[in-house]
Amino acid sequence: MDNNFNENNEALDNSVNLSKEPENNMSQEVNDNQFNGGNSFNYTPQPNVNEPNPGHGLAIASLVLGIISIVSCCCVYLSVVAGVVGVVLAILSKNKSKDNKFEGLAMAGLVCSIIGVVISVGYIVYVIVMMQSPDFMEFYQQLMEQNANL
Amino acid sequence: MRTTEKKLYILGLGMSILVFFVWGISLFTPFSLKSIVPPCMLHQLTGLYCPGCGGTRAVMALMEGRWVSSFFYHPVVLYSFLLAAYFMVTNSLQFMSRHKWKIGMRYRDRYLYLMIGILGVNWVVQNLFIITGHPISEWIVKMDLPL
Repeated sequence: MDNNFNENNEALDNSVNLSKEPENNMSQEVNDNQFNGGNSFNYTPQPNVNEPNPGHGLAIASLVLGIISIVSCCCVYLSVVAGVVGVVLAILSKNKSKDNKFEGLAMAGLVCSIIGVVISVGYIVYVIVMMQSPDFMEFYQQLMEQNANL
Repeated sequence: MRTTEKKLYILGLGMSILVFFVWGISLFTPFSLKSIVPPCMLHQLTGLYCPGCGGTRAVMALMEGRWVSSFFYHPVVLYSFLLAAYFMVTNSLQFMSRHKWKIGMRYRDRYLYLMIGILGVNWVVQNLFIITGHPISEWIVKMDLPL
């Protein structure tokens, strides 16, 4: 699902010109039809498929934050913050998109962010529950002291 | 240069400055990345790796030039570094040539999807080796790779 921007401005201009043509010819067409009773010109302007999705930048940021959230799931503060921001950006990307749907990148960012937050929150809950045990508390404190001495 | 590439280039410049700053500090002071990155509690409690385990060691190995060790510790670090370096170098050359050399790497979504794929595969493979009792990190230390 690549971001295929069309750098060729000629193609862009052509599509714009095509969409403009019916407007320029419309009054003429009406006159023609009145005089000729001829064939009607049915042209439906096609949407320019090369136009970038407005929310694409936000979708990219959402996926990057989702990856950071998963990779840093042990560093819970960073993971939760990155995950929550990733979810928010994915939703903003959806709201900004033309058809108000999650594009592939935004969906991937949303999923990764949610996974990162779930792992971190699960880990926090696990530590809180385990802290009821005095053996675990002692082990945890030793670990923190070891890390502080590095 | 298109908008997305411009934003990524500016972000890359900022990150490069930060990385060089940290690297410079680590060269001339006893500062170590391990002192600011907390230990992985998941690994300490269960023995298994989280998706990010090995990342700090991979970064430190890469900063010492041991790119093979860095790959085995955590391949995403080496992949990200190579991708970012290629992006920055080619876009810098394009910028300095005033866009006469159109060699600047463009952003593609597939690069991020590939990163997720490497992350997932690495996580599974590392934990499989741990479950069998032969963690990859032990091999790296035993082999004492020059690279």
